Amino acid sequence: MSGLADRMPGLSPFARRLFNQFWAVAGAVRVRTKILGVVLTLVLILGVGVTFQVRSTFRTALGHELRNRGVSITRDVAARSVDLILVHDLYGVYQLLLDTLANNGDVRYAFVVGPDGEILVHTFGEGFPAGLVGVNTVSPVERYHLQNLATDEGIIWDFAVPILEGRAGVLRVGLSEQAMRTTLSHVTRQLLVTTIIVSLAGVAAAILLTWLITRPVLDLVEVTRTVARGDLSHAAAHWANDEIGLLNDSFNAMITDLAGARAESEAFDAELLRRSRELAALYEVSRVVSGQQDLTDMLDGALRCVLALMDLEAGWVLLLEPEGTHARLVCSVGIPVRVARQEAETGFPHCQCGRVLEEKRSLLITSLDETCPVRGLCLADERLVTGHVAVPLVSKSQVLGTLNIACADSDCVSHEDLQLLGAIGQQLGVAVENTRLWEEVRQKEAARGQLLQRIITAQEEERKRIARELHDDTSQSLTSLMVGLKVLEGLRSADEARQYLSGLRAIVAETLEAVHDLALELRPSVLDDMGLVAAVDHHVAEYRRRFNIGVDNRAVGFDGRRLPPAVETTLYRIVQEALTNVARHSGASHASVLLEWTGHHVRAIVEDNGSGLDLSLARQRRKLGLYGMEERATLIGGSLRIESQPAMGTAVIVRVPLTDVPTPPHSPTSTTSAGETEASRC
Amino acid sequence: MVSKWHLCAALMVISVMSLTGCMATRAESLPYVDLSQRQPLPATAAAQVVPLRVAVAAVISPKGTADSYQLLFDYLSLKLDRPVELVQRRTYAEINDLIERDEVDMAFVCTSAYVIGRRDFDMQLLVAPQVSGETLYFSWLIVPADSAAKELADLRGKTFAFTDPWSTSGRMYPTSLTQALGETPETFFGRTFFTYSHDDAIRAVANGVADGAAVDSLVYQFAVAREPWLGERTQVIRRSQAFGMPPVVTSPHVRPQVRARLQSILLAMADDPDGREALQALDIDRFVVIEDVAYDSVRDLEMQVGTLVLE
Repeated sequence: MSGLADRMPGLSPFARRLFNQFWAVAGAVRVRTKILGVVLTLVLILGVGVTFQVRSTFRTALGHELRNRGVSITRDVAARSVDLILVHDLYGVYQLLLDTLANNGDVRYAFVVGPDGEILVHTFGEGFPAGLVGVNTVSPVERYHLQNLATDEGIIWDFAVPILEGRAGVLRVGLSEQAMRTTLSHVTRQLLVTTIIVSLAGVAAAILLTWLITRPVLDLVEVTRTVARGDLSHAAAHWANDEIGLLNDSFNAMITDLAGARAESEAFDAELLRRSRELAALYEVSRVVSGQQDLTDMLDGALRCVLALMDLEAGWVLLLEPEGTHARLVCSVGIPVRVARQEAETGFPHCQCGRVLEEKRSLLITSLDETCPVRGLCLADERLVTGHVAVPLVSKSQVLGTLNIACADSDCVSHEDLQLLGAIGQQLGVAVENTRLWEEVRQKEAARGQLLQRIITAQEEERKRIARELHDDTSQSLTSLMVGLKVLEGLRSADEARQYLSGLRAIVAETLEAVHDLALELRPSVLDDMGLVAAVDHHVAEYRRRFNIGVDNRAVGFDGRRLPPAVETTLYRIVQEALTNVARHSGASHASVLLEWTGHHVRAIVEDNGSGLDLSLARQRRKLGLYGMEERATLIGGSLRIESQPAMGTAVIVRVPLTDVPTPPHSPTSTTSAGETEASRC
Repeated sequence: MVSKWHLCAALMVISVMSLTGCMATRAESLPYVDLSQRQPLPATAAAQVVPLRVAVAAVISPKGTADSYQLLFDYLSLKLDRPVELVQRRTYAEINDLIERDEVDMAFVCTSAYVIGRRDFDMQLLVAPQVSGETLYFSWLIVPADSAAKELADLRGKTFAFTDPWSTSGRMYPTSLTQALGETPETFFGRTFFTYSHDDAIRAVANGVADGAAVDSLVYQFAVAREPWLGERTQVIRRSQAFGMPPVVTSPHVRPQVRARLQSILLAMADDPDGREALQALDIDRFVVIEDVAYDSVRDLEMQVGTLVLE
């Protein structure tokens, strides 16, 4: 492990090692111990340093003071003892020395050494300490001489002062250091006590400081752990406006950001989940829908699938009738069919769910009318229906029906569920539309098959008719002609022959007419030669003659122009078929044919005043060549519409768009056949 | 953690040891004296050479005396080839006792002390100092310079400083003046005290401690010459009759040879430069032989004031 000192440049290896060893100990302890250690060390160093310094200074000052006092006392006593010594008043001197001792607590002794070296007076009482006289001497010119003595009573400051320049002797005064040492010890003790008190205060302050520093940090650590566990609801308390406070603020800001990011992520996840669920639901519905070709089965499967997805139990599906106001029940789950049908018949147009027709979006109906059949219905879990969800089945912006889900409470579906149901509704709408189209295609395909069959049959019949015609009429005529020629061959006279020839010629003429009629019936050459209007005129004329039905024939906007051959043929055949139907099935006494060329459209209308017909029935039964007419119109890009009601006659309307056709001249003139009247609807 | 506490403890121990240790180490190099080991003082060894013991009466303060007489003593010591020891006592009476008990050989005494000593134990007159050509002196009554007193009578009830109980000029003369007024010092003055030296009496008046004092005229002149402020702060309001100069005497027990030797040395001092220097230190012209009759005026005064002062 690299030590802290390794990151400090300029340290000697020894210092580096020393510091690393120190840091190995100091760095391993807690912050509290570090601060405590630093404070204690500083206080102790300060306390001991101050104590040492003060003691040293005090000692020096006390030493100076003791020296000055000693000199002062000794010189004063020496001065005062001069006269006493000179007049040999030794007792006076003795009294003076005793007074000096009495008045100065730290003066341990005093004595006067005479000029001859003998001790004149001393304060020791009985006897005199051996060796004391000689340890300190002073010359007559000195003010004083100080000699420190080590004695059995401690250090003694021995002052020697000459009396009257030594002529009257020398005064010696000993001052004990004891008082000074006592004072020093007292001061030192006081300082050490103060140091200990300050140390204790320092410890208390360090503990407080540590608490102030570590508490927020530990708090922060706790919050960090909480955050690490994923709980972002906790924030670090703001203790103070210091660096730790800033750290807390930053950390809290980070938590807020984190929470924001998480909320976004969760919202995103939820959105993702919702979308996924939607997709799954749509997929499931799509799967169910795609597996069914029958509309009822498909919608039933879809309803069950939706109920399973929503975890609900009851629902029904209604489809709007083509007129768009009434609905019929397609399927229901979880509620009696009777009630569902009742809902379809009475509830839907009056219920609030009718709004889906206008709003074209899923609605949650929470307040059902009292007349609503499903209101109060008891579900399998014994809860009562209080509302229902209406989901429009929309295709190409058109509502085809509704998918309904019964609800026992007001929050059975969420907003998102409503949206999902809306999407499912659209999917189902498209599926319904597709199914219907498929059904229509299937019906058309069947009709086409029947038509083909009929065409083939008609062709055969036409061939049989032509064959019969040829065999019965033409062949017979030709046989008669052959027989007549053979007879003519046997005639000998020219008159007979001439008469016979005239008979033969009549036969040939009759045969020719028959062939002409036959050819005209097959395809009128007038259509190719003269155009649609002339061909229709010709056909109407023939029709009147053959079926004894009054027909009004009228052409508008043609003005001698020709339509494309395919359009002319198609319109001609449709008119021909329609008139044939009138003659065969309607029992009409009158019919009308209108050809109208307007701009880029041409229209043909064939009406009659016959018995009329049930269209759906007619379609189902593939009768009347209706499908054939529709097929013909469709083949040239047109459309055919039949309007009919029983006993109200029938109108067949063909409308064909035209491209690349010259516009008609301005003066619209009409060509009508003789006896034609305005066509009018029956 | 443990090592940290150990470190702290070690620091404290070191610091305390350093604080106490610095005191202990000092004593090692000091000379040792055991104050409890007492022994009797050695008896004073007899001097090999017996010094000439000279007493000086406390005309002036002992320190002043010691200073003033140092040259004279040095001179005598040189001439005699033996040490000369100054002996001082507080009072004239004590000096007289020393002379009488032969504890001093020679003494400078006051006139009244001589008169008493002569009478009591035959004190021997040796020489007398001559000052300004005279062997006379006076008692001057002095008061503070700012005092209104013009006569002793003006000092009634005041504080008066005597010099020595035996002093002619310092006590006998003012006492005689109060007697002349029909009083005693105790009744006349408010308070009296002894200074035991003339210069201290002058200082007492100059400092206002005393309202008046009577002092030796020679000492006054000597002191004022040395310390002019004393003259500025005192004034002389009365002068006495002349008295004989305080003499130099010897004990009756002094051998005649020694006495003669001393007298010759003292008389010849003025002729010797060293001697003159010593005499100048004492403000003396020379030493002269003086007769006992010169002190009769003192005896008269003593007779006048009675023996009370000698008690």
